[in-house]
Amino acid sequence: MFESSATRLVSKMRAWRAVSTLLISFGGFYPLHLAAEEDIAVWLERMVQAAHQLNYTGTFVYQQGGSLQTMQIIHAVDDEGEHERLVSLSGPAREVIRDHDRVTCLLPEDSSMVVEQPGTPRSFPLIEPAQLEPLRRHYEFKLHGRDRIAGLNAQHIAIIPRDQFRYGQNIWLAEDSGLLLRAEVSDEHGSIIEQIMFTTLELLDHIPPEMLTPQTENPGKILELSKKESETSSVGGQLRWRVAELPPGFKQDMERLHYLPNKSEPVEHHLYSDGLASVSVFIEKSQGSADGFTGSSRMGGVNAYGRRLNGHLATVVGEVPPLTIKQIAESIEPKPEN
Amino acid sequence: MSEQKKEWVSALADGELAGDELKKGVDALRQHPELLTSWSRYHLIRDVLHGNSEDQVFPDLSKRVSSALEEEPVILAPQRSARPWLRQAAGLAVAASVTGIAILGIRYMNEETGPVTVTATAPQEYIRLEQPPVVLVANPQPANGEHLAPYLVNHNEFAVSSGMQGMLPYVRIVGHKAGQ
Repeated sequence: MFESSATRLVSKMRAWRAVSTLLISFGGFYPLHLAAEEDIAVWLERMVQAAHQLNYTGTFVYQQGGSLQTMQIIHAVDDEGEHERLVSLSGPAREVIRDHDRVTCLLPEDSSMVVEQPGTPRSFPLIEPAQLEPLRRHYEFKLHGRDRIAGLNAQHIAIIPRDQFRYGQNIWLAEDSGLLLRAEVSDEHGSIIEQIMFTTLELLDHIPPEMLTPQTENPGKILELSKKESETSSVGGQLRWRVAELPPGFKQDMERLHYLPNKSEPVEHHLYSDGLASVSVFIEKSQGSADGFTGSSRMGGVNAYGRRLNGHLATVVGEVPPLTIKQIAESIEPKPEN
Repeated sequence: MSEQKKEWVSALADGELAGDELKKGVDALRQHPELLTSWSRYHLIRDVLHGNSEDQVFPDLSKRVSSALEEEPVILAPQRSARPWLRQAAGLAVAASVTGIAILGIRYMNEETGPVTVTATAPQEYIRLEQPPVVLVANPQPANGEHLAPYLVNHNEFAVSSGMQGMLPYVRIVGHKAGQ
């Protein structure tokens, strides 16, 4: 799996380079900026493929505000799909285990939870040069120089937003595997709001299953619904709300009704995206005047905004600036009756 | 509802069950959804006992804002003509295929409310709350992870950016506690 995909991607990139070098040396008509764009698309595709298709384990630091933490990630792929385990190595023991159809969060300080997604294989975007085009209306992509991270040679790519509705990113990708080695998210003023950086990264042929087994002792309370029950408790019914004015470049990706933990009422979930960043809108019937949260809050590069309307509670969450979240939250309204 | 089942739920909420008993407690909750209310109450009691109640979680400011919002006059507005509404066929297809999703975690409710179907709550008239003046928030408060996490996990699982953002969404969840 690793061999073939990595080899294919490397050869694809070499092919681009060979073609552009040939064209440049033969006539100089081939536009240079196009070569760079195609290189960026190939790099981004490599990054996405590598993150989902390789077996690896690594240690990284995560910095957000004044907090600095060390974590370990273990990622494996088998016939069932992907398995991923993310463990905190500093501070309280917390971990998240992702399998092909479920996510288990073991957060002893809060509450543990399990999210199941029966029958919905996780998909991931393939980035082709053509798909980069619509993104370029809202972001500028720049191929920067080489760097060295976790002892590996890395390529630095800058993703610069063209307006104040999205965050910028700097990413560093391993030259050999394409894996993300370092990432910074910066706000509208250019200040870094969160970053991760690997200190060790190892590619493996096989990940022993015990590496993917949760080690958190006394994980608190875990409740999970069986798949069968999740299916029978799925909700039909009409979606009642809409976002009247989306920020530029955002469009709806999906909408659905489902249940949130410990809620007797279904929640309406809309997902909006500009192709890179995304925002979710959750609307549920208010359980009382004190439930949920109202106003702005943030979690690293994620912003959230809660408001009440017509006895409902709207929660907007996304990896975009507070302005974008607020604009979306403020323009939630009932769908007009037909 | 038998007292014994309620006791199981109470013990479950306190994390006192293990093995077969744990299974029985979870089964009781599965078979009797009405026990979820007790479940929520036990958590609320526990949280208050541990000094982790909502009042402390959310500073007074947000309380004041929310009560101010509740007191905003309700204005009946005439029905507007429908704005152009982009409804993607693909989006609908995805929505149809993912409705079989259920999550059950731990989050307390403050009121006992029985299940009400969503159709029964549909607004009959086109009611809009008068919008409060827009205030740009320069420094949003750090999020309460417990409240935000269920939304964030759901957001992550469906966000197209999960490919581009890689593991960062879950790093935020794991890393949040120490960030507070």
